Amino acid sequence: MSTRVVNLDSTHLAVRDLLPWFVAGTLDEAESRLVNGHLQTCAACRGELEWERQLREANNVGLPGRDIDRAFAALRARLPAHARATPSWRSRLQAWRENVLPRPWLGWALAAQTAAISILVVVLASTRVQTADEAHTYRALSRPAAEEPARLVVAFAPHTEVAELRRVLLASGARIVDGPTAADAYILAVAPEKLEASMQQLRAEKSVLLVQSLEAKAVH
Amino acid sequence: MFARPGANAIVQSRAHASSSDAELVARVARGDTRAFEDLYRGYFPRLARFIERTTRRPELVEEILNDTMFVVSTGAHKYDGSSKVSTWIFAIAWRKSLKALRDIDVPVDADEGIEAVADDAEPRHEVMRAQLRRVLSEAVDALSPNHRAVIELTYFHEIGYHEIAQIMGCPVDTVKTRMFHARRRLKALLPERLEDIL
Repeated sequence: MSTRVVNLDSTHLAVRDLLPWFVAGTLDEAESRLVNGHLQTCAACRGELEWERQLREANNVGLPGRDIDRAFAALRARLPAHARATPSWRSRLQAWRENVLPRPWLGWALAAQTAAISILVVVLASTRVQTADEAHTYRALSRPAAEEPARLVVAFAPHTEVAELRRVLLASGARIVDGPTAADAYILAVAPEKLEASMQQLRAEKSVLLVQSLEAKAVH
Repeated sequence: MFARPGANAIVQSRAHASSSDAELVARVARGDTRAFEDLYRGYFPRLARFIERTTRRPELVEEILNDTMFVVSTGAHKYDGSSKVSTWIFAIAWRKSLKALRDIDVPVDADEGIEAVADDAEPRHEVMRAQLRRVLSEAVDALSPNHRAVIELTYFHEIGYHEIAQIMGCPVDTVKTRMFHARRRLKALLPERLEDIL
């Protein structure tokens, strides 16, 4: 009898210690099974579990946003010169070798692509004389140098990983220009003509919780 | 409140991110500055939050974060793949946070001001919803950085206790003990039923 009590107590203590990670969903299958089984019979742990859930929800509030561009610029100034510069040709060659050599067919494909690019360069060079006049077209000083990008605010799911973030940004053609804001949202910039398409793309992503344009809508 | 992706999506996303992050680190080791910027921007929100919530020193966050990413940039060739990239980077951030706190003579083990906060929090059941964040913030403030780090890594970053042990450079049992003591202290400081003020 006493052995059984000891076993129950040890299970209870083990489960009690695991509850925070059970709530967070980071236990392995065996541990989750153990916790689930014990919860069926232990009212104290069920009460503790509910408290844990509320505590976690209260803890996971957003914080004020920070200026990522400014912070990154400050770090870049500290980095060694070789880390600030663009990759050296040695590094790029090394990376190219590592990527291409294990796949010989890719080398042939790249050779063909290089030949095509060479032909294209020759064609473009021959047409350059014709287009040179366009470079001297009159341009008013008041005309903006380039069209301002459209901005939109996006909230990602709280645990979106770097790779997913990059994939979503690349797919939408947008880039982060500010954030995270106090509500853990980001400000993205996108070419004005691609705004609608980017928003549709972003809304279709599972990791995107909110998409809102910051551009004033045209009045018709 | 943000919706949460399903458990399977999180697992798949993390597995994918882990290999992608490893590729980024490998490129950083070869001097690829674009890869480093991608890594920096990807980790900035999570690291900023972890450092701020752990140190409770908002004015130090960017300095600690940049110290962390400086080590990532210059030490990328030392990453051996024995742990997840996120574990490696968070471990650096934790060590840099501890160093920053020690530099300003903040003890990293001792809890502070628990009685004072407990008194301020009375009467517990009459706390309004709008005050929840402040009450919790004060309660967590009263914990030591060691306890705050375990809470933040567990609840917000959803990191398992084995990885937390790697990040904090301590045994797994120490992580569980710290969490147990943190929960016990928070219980003493917060209303029994948080839903009463939610």
